[in-house]
Amino acid sequence: MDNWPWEPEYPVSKYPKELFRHASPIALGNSQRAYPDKHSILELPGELRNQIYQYITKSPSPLQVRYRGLGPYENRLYLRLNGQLRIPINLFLSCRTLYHEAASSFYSNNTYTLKPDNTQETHHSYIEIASIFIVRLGSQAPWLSKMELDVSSLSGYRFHQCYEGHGFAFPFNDRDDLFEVMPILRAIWNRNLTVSVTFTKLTDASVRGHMLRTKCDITAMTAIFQSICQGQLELRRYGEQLRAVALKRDGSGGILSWGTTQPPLGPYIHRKRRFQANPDYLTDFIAEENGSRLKLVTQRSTPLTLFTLPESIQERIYSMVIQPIEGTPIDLDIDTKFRCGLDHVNRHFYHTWRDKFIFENKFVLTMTTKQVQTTFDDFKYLRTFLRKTYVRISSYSCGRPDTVTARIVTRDKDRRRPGPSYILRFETNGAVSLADVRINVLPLVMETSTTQATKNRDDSDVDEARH
Amino acid sequence: MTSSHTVTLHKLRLNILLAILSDVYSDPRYLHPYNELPDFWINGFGDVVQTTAVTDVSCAATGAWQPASSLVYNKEAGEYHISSLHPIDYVYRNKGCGVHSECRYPYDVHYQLFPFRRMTKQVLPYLMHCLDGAGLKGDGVFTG
Repeated sequence: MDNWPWEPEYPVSKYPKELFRHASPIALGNSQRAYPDKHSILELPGELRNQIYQYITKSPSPLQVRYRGLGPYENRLYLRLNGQLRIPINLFLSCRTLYHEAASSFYSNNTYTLKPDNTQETHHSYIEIASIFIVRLGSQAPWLSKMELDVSSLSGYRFHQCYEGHGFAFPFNDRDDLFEVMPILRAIWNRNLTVSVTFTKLTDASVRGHMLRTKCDITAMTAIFQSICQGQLELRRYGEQLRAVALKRDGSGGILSWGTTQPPLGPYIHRKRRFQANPDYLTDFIAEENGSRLKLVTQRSTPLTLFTLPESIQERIYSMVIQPIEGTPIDLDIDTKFRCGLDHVNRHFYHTWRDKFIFENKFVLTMTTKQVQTTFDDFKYLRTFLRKTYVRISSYSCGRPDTVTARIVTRDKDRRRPGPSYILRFETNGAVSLADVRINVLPLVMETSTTQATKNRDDSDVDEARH
Repeated sequence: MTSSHTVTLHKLRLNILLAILSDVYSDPRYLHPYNELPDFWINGFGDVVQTTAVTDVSCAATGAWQPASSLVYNKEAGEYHISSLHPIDYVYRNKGCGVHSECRYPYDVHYQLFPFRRMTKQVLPYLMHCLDGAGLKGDGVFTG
């Protein structure tokens, strides 16, 4: 149980690693008394010492974890505790023994409260602040006993959703009924903590913060969170594959976001991580008995079909059909139509895949002759084929005619298109050397002038003689 | 028995351009603006081995030299207008600059539209541009 394959918290966050640095643990050992001839608190029985520590370290009200920083131009995060307690720093600094005893009392006897900071543009995810708080406690984290998170005065979901490698774990930003908890779950699971996390409704006195109108059942939410921590649904065992967990604020359940090794392409792909959140793989779970019992929703109302598969899988299937790895051979003397499979199934496919089929496919165009000296009939079939692969325009004012032409010969090195290859085949009765064949080539050079040429042989003109 | 040889498009274009330059500029006399290119014959290795002068009086606007753009002839005015400008012409002519569907053109417009009716003074710079934009350094005409 101690060696879970959990990644460290910091790659999950968009924030730098430095935010998650915590103080080194104080070395264990027996403190030496400075004045052995005088009385020491350490001579008192443990029960009495604990009583004293409680008097000193226990706050009558929860300690509020205040934070600032992490603005759009600031990567530092400042945390401090605020409450009706003067933190006995001197007691902590007296000696190692007193530190361990007093600090454990300080963390285990107090409740630590976080509330979203709606008054400042901190650009952070509220739940990530809570997880950073645990991470920064370092070796003191196991003493942590109670945490309270205010979920009643949150701004809209998009202000506190969690960053996940190539964007956000969930493919929506308007679900104000959700509250993501994955960062704090990771922090707890990574350290095997037994901290009790409670969701609360605190008074939001901020002017700019607004209360969400969605129903918020904090009792049920707390019960659900505790159920997850206690091992229901066995989420912990999924390790990196589980990318995000969101609770529904009405206490009816939540949503899980699963990672895949091949997520849909996005602008911020995090290539170092094996699993990345894939918005096509979400699983709902429902809470029964007021959150104490969780159940995955696995039953589908209708069976999956090709059209109801997750979008990323659909795209992979279509891509394999429309862009076969082996290329698409076309014999220009026989073929009069593209064999483009799905392309003409319906209007959606045509608009979505037509350009990809034509401009990102590897066509091998073959022309055959039986003559040794030939014009290949002025390459008329090739001319028809190539000229039709452009988008024609009938109006000069509002068309986009140049985009397609430009695509054919783009020099974009990152997305180099394969381009067509051309085979001129000679099928003669007698033996003919390649040096003896003659081709009137100017029409070919003109018609293929927009085909991207490269230094290698990917885009090539193949002359072949067969006899 | 089958034998094959592969020539890159870039190499083939280069061979043809060198052959055109050699053919056109080997004669120091004045090059007429409407001179038409000869046929260039290559062997199976992509080398230009033969050049044949065109015997026709004028290259027909059909077959290999049929314009990619659509032209409509107005009998009364004896002029043409371009009903559909092909993307090749659109890009090559600076995004259709100076071309409009309402414009009327003389027959000469055939020489200014791809594939330029074999006219030397149009084909030569066009192919030079293609070579520039053939995946090598330099700004090509079709790089969009």
